[in-house]
Amino acid sequence: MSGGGPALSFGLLAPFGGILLSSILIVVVGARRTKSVADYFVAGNRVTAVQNALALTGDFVGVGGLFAITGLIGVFGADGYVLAIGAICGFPLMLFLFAEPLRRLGQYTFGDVITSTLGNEQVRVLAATTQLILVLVQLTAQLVGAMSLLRLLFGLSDATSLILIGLTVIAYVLIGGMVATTWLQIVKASLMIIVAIFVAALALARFGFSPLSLLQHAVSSRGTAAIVPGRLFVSPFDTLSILLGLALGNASMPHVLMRLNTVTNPVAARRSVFMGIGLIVVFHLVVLILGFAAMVIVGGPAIRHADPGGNMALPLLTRALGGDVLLGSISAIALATILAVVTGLVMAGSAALTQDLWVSAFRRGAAPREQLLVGRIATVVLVAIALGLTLLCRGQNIGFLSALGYSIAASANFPALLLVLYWRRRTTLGVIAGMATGLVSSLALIVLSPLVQVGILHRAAAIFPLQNPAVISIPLALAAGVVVSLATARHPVHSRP
Amino acid sequence: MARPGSKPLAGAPGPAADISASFWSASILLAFVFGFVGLLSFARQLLAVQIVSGLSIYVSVMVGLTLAIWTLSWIYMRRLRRLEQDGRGRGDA
Repeated sequence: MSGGGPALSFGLLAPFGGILLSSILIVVVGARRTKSVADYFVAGNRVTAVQNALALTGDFVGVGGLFAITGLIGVFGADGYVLAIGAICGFPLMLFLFAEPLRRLGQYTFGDVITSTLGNEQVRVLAATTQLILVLVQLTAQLVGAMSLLRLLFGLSDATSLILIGLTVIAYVLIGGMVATTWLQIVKASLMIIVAIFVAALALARFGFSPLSLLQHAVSSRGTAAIVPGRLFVSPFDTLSILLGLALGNASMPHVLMRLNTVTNPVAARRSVFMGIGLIVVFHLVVLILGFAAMVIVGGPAIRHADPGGNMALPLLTRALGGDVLLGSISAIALATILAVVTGLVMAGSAALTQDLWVSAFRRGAAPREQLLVGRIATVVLVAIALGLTLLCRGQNIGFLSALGYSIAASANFPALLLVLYWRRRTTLGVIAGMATGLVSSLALIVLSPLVQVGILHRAAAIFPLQNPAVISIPLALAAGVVVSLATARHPVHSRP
Repeated sequence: MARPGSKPLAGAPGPAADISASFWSASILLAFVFGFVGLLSFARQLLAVQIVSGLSIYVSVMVGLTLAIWTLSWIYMRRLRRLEQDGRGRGDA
């Protein structure tokens, strides 16, 4: 897997062709169903709860979930699953706190929710800016992943990979809109879950279909270190910070929240998130099996040899179990996953630019035709910026870039949503202070953390000792929101009934 | 947070009984997270114990926690259904 990519075979290329053809079909069908602004941004609010559950699962479970966690378990043992627990908590938090209220309040974007509750349009610009930063960071992380995958599989140069991916994403979003984006996620999530279960079953077949036997073999090959804590997470504050960042960040990512508006009503939003939780729980339990199977069948050293971050554990396992056809299938699904997540992110960014900035700040009362045109121009601009950032971030760790996005979402979006939806005494200035504090503090602490100071700038020590800022930046944002709200409580902006 | 039976909060869509269910479910979930980190920090020796050969308490706790998270969501959904049947839920928009 290392080097310029494996020799191309029919078994490797056929699944890619299948995925590409089916996605083109989805985009063409999506284009026929996209006629209005609501069709373009929120699929006309016609998505059913089951469809949305699959689409949410697709947004939620990216390559980070499948490849990275399998690799972490394969290399570090059970400790790798700690990240999965943080990620799994995000969906229930969204169900408990946001699913129904957001569907009731929101129209297209995160900014809609904030402004419809506060009745103040000024806060929308800050909301849109935060969402754009989040979308660009997450887009960059996903594109770096796609670039690495194409380089590993086909030996394509970074520039060629980016041009191909950029053109594909622009075509998908421009032509198909949210309808196509949703169906891409539905198909991809279904395929990913089916293939992951199939690979896990193939792996378990080698151990008499007994997970316990698999664990015993893991202990035989790697010692008890495979099933005890302490290999990956040592500092309690760091562990808590990572878990909180993942949980609260996953619950408040703009492209995931936007999906809540695609269903018919608030109850369908709640049901879809609940069904999504079931799918995500099953998926992560399968990933636990895949991780230990990779440890036993492939081996930690071989995984690290292919990729020091362990990200290629699953492709190596699938090749060991099913040859090129299975490797091609899992890689094609991984690429489809990245494309689907990227299209969802571009939709969220395009909606923020169009609805929160253009329609609200510059051209109030813009005609639907103009909104669609601006949305499509915004798509091209966003993808172009993200491609430029991806070239700058070549060689950076995908996990680091993703964690950056989750930390920002957990620090800026989560406290703002909590204040807006659940605290009667919050004021517009309080919400603005909370969002701004969360955004600035999370960005500043990430820059001062060992990830940047030691990992990227190669300094001896970092000013801020934790890898993840969430444990500091989330309380800081909440405190700023509460204090400023109380300080400005004499002049509250009245909420809409 | 409002108690069940009180007036709906301004800006918080839905009756207070619903909000109370949301608040308690989210609090329990966060207690799971903090409890898990507490175990990781202060009970490593306990987590390292093998219940049977190959299966440590650590792996069991993580699988159990994953299933507990789903169970908590299921209880929340059931609670909301009952509130709706009693006419105290959010219902359809």
